[in-house]
Amino acid sequence: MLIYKVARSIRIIFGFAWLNGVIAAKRNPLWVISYLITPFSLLVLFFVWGGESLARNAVIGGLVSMAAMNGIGLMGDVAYYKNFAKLQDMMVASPMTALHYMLGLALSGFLFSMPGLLLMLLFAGKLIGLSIMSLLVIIIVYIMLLLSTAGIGFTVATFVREERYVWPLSNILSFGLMILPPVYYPYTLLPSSLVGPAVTLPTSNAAMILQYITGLIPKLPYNLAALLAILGAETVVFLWISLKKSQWREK
Amino acid sequence: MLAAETVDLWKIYSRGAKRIEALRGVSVKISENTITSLLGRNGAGKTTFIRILGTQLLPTKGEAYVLGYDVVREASLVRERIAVLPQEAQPLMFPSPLEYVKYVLVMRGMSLSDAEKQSKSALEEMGIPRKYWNRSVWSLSGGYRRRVLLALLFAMNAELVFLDEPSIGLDPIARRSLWNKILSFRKRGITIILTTHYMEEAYILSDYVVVIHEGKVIGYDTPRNLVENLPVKYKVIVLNDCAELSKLKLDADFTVGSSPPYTLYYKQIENALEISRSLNVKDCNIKIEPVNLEDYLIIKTSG
Repeated sequence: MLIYKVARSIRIIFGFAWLNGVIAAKRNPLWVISYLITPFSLLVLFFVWGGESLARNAVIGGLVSMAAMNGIGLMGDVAYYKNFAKLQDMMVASPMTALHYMLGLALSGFLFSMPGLLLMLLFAGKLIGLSIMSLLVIIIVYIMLLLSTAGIGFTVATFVREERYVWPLSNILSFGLMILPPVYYPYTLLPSSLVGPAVTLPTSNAAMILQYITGLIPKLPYNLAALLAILGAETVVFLWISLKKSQWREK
Repeated sequence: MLAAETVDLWKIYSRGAKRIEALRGVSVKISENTITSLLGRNGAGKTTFIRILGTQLLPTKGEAYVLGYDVVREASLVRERIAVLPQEAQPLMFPSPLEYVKYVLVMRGMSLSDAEKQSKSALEEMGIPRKYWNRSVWSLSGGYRRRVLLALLFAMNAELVFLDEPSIGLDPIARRSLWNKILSFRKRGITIILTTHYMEEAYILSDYVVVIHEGKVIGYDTPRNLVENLPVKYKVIVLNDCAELSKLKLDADFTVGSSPPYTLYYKQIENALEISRSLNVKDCNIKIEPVNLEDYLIIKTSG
């Protein structure tokens, strides 16, 4: 019974990811390119202004912001499917749960970002040099970050009554999660009083981990295991929030 | 067994300081293997009622059961057995009709091979030409997009289907073809609960009609009985203003309209004919007709 349930859940999630990710990317490849614009613009800018040493920070920032952009970016999909296509209404009245829906969207975001992710990893390999271990950590952190930001994006978007309200919200969230905190720059540039809050943000936490394991920063504010545990806990918490607190079935 | 049952069902929306009572103690029993239409004016509470039964919206108080399961406590069991087409739903932008139907079926837990088979036969059944199956849904006309949604809905193999204004945007021929489909699904044992503003549709399709007004059920019977039990039987529709009209309006049993067209209702055909004789037919431009379901709704919910 449990195996059947798990297999069915996987099918449901992949079904949505295929519909929302692969088919959409195939029919409109511009979307895939649009996901690359921000991280690659910053990479170019950093490279031109600061050469290779700043570009290394931009590569790590790019990896982090690509995951976060996918998570936050699904706010637009959620609001569109809820308010215009009424897909959410159809799927609420089906065996699909809020978690399936959110994971399907996150997975489709991951599929969308695959070309950019591979390209960014290539740059990382070239500029920083990646060991198997650091590659593994990057992938784990990327997935955790995608899931936690998808949890945030999904929960917020289910309360939005009109697609247009999502645009400013996602821009503000992107600024607050990707530009302001130490994602494209080392946390050591922050006043010490802001380091603690930065650790609690999934994006800056992830950036600290990646900057450290790729050798861009010599030490972390807390040990690596603690930072990974915080990110893991945040992922679980945001997934739980998306399941329990999102507006799936309306009240 | 009952397909749906509600007992003193209430839904109150709170918007800031505002309290909107969308449903006010609705109690109905809907039998399995029937087609039941919910009728009412805009904002009457039809969609709220259908969304509570469809497990998309929580009631404020009262009880609601679908196929014997409580929609609040046993929602997951209800959701395995129902399918819903929300009002103004649209297919997704990029997939083709075949991809859209197939993958939404997979999203409901169907295997890929079953979903492929089901979607092809549903598209065929809804009369969507094969040449459209692999084009983007959004390159199709509004009517065909609506048919894609209906194909999806009927491919779901649900025991109970909720249709919220299913024929909006369909041309008269497509609408009739939809009626045939709906009737054929009832023959297969599927229960259908729908909302519509097309009275002809409700009259032709429905075994039963539930009339909701301001959150309360004000009529529940077969469409024929509802019409037959109206106190008036005939109506004179007056399309133009004319001299004798104001006096004649006083003689009518019920009048609707403060500007043309006016509808004057009468208990007896003789009264209606007498009125029509006394009016200058050419000037007034009148028609005499027996009352129908639309008149039921107008008489019971206007004023």
